[in-house]
Amino acid sequence: MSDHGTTLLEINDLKKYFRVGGGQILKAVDGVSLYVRRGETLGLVGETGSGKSTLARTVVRLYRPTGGQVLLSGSDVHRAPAREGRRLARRMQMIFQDPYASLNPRMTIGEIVGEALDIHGLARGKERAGRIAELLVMAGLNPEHAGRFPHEFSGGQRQRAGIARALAVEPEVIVCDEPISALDVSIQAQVVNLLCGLQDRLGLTYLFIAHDLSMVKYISDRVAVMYLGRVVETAPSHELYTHPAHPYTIALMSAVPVADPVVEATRSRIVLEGEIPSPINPPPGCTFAGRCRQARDICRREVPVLKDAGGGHQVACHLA
Amino acid sequence: MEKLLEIKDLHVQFATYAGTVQAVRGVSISLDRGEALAVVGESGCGKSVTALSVLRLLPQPQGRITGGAVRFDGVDLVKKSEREMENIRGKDISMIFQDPMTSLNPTMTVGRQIMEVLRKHRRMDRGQMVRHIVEMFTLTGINQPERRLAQYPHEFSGGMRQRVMIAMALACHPKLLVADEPTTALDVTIQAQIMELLQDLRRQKDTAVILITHDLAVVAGFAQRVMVMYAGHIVESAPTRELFAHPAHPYTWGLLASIPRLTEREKRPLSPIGGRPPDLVNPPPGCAFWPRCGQAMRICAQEEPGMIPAGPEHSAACWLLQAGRRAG
Repeated sequence: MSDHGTTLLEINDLKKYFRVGGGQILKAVDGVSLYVRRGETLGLVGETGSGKSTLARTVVRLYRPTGGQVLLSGSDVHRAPAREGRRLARRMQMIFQDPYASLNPRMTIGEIVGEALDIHGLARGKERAGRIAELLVMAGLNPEHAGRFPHEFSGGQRQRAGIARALAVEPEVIVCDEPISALDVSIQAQVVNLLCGLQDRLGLTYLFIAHDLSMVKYISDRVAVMYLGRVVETAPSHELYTHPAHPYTIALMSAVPVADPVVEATRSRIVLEGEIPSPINPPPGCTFAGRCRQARDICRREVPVLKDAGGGHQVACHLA
Repeated sequence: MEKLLEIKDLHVQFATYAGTVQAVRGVSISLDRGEALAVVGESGCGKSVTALSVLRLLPQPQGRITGGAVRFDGVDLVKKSEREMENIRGKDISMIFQDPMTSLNPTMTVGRQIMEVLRKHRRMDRGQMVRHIVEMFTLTGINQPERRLAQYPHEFSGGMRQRVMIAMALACHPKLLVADEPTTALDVTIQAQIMELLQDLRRQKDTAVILITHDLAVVAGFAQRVMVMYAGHIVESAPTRELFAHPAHPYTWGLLASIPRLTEREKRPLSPIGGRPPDLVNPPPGCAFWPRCGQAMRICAQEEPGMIPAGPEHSAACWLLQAGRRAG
């Protein structure tokens, strides 16, 4: 983490719309701007339908954006010429929620990891087998397991295989989309510790998405909160949990259960009425206004922009 | 006063291609009227199988209760015929599941589905049934109940579908509600709403609730008592506060050390439990947890520990307690 502090990944006014038929447009991501420093972990939280997975997939070029840019060390990953684009893509990898669905069931783990090496011409011959073994060890797997198929592994081991594949191309950024949600509690901690250890050793930069807010807080340096395709607040991880500023963040934090019955007995919950509105024809103005108790006229007219609110917070709220 | 539910030494087996899985291996649970009990554990520990056994809903023909008794209100449910069980399910004992979409019939309006339950168990005419459903929907926080009951499950969001399931489960005022991971598929804000609803209804109607979950944080805010399951056994049982403050079994201790707390300022390294649970086709002798336990002694690999007292209303199946030590 030598040059910690320089911006590695920059997302500018990113938009991803989907046509859903009948001339309607679903605005999954609608003008998101974020940055991630080298060696940092940016957590991304939000409820189902907030657009966090679409954002992640657009960042790693699985989707073409409707508007805006994703810059990796200043180069636009979506507008780069083909060869340059491939080179940029190699620097960013993704780990998925369901490792079973993201590993080819007919290939052995060794073949899966080796394929990544082959595509980018990273290791050949004897060196290739050695590198595969090394990657499996890095992900906490036994190198003798290279000949096994995904179904022969447990969920945690499969996720480790997904991590080994991502590491194969020596990426700088890893986008982790709910990497632990499908795992048991004791296995979650194993994978999180693995990710933290790899970050320290390799200086990796993470964009970490999860719906378990306690885990996101634990693993992230900073956290961004998304609501209906937009970022409503970003702040250093502990700050966000102790002093949330956006009314949505406040409600979200109060809803998170804490594994401590003494704390639970004294906590007060802000129960949000209703549910997240549809991203097809979202309401004008602040998208949270319909569920916000403090909403005023301006909230229903004008979209609030992210602005500094002190303590490292950026908040998109007319009242903050 | 007599217990509402007493499960005694329950054994359940499943026939699979890999052999006979001993999913539940001698589980005993007792529950008072109106009590909130949580059964916690990871995938495959037998918590859902235990719950399904209470309602005699084990998948047939693979699942089989091979021993023990499930006494509910004084009668043994294991000995009941399928027809007798049909009169108990939905009336005295109800269950809600993780995924309400797969437990609701997609081709029927939700109103008709709840009417089926009422028609089976209660003498009501149509008008009374509609009024009752409207009342249940209002109670469970479903807005515009008259309009909603004529809708199909797909017209509801995940959180609203779970409310429909709860309304249906509570339609006949059961004495026991078994909730199997009721909020696992839901967002935290909706989870908070549903757990609060379950707690309110439990208190208002004096319905006992068994909450089956893997989420210790949800347990902390809901249950009065917790039982931890591992490899088909109950390994620890305690009042909720006692369990979190003084976990006695190394597995419970390990689970608590595996999860970060939202309220913690310092980044405490997570201590995961290494390894994996044993294969229940051939469960190992001794304590099922010993291969993953950092404090295992010689006896742990040889003899299976019974429940040993660890504090007030607190017991755990661990030899350390016998030796005057505890997990930690």
